[in-house]
Amino acid sequence: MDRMDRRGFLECMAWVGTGVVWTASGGVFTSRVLTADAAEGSQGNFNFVQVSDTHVGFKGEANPDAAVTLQQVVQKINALPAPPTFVMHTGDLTHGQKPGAFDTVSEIMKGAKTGKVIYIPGEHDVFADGGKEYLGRFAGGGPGWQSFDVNGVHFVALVNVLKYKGERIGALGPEQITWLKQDLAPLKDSTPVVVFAHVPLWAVYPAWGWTTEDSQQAMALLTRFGSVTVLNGHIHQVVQKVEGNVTFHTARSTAFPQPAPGTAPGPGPMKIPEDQARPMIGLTEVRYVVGTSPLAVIDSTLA
Amino acid sequence: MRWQGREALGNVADGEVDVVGHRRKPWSVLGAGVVALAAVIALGADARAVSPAVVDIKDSKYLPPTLTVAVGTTVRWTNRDEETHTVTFDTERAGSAGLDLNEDYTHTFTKAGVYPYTCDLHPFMQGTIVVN
Repeated sequence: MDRMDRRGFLECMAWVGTGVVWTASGGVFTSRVLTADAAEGSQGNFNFVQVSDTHVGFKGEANPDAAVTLQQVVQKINALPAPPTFVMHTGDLTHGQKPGAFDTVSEIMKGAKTGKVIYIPGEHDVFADGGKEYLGRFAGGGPGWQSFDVNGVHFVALVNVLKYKGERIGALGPEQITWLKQDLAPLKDSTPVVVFAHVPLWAVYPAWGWTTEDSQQAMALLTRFGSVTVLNGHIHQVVQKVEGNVTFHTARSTAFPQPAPGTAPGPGPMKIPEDQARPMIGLTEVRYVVGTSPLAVIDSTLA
Repeated sequence: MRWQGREALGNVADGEVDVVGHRRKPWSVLGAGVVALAAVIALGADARAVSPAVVDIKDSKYLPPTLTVAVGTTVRWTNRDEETHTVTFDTERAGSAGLDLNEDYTHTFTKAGVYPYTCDLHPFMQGTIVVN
């Protein structure tokens, strides 16, 4: 991995199309080149893909069929230089939990060449029935949150949409925070930790509900770790923030873009022509390289 | 939006809609209230039987945010957004499923009271039906 220079920048742009590589070190963003060779050259390196807000069932001006753009994202996943170890779907699988929508998402995602597809819910997946169908299908009837390890990196997938109704905001709830505390307890401070959740775990724009009420309790448990990467969805655009050793990043939707905070009367789908929307929807690839603490987060679009 | 709704429905009672504060002329608040109240009294019986009052959902807002109706009135909400919305009452054990673009939901209010409601997907959206 080299420091960014002009040549490197061009190389990077050529590789990821319209994507940009950002890494964070000591609270300061630096752009770096991360080639396929770098990712594959050392044992223990791996990559994974974050897909978010597929909203299958959505039909609007920006996208006549969200199932089609999801299929195109799967094709992009299958064209990556290295197949991802897993694909994490960070919620809003469906647009309104209409009958058959979960089936469609599952079927399309089966086409992704990856070890495993993991899901966490968005509010669109659980509002109609309190999560009964989603949790039955994707969480074996459990609470939906989970953790796992890949090559020394600890992954935590949180659920912050099930209390959406009562709390009037994204929320994790005391039961999940207690679980998180126990889950993280055995880990060394040097363990890289990646946290997924649908609604951002920091206050992006509370007026539109783009925040998680009790996220500070979760983040307090994570501050001791040297490298924490928080990957969220929900807001259908890339927003990044660094706070100490914690890098926050939100992914694009695969279906339609939403306006930047406060730039529209409401947070709904942007009503723009399809060709203008394509550079605003896509996927996120994340690469972990042994010996480098920040993970490289690479966003690319369907343009 | 309001005119479209009223034209489509044909015979929405003025009193049931205009009492909310969407005055088209710069009448005094008191004057408008008296006129609207008179309209409710005059048209109440017929309006209850046939005319839904209407609320549009647009730009993640309920329009009008507060609607005052007579007991027995059916209120119809129509989603004008591409985003899914719901009509979910705080106190009434009723509410809509997810409404996609141009889908609607109706509810008939049989008891006087104040009925706040929200959208399960966008809790910052707030509306109120006042039933007299």
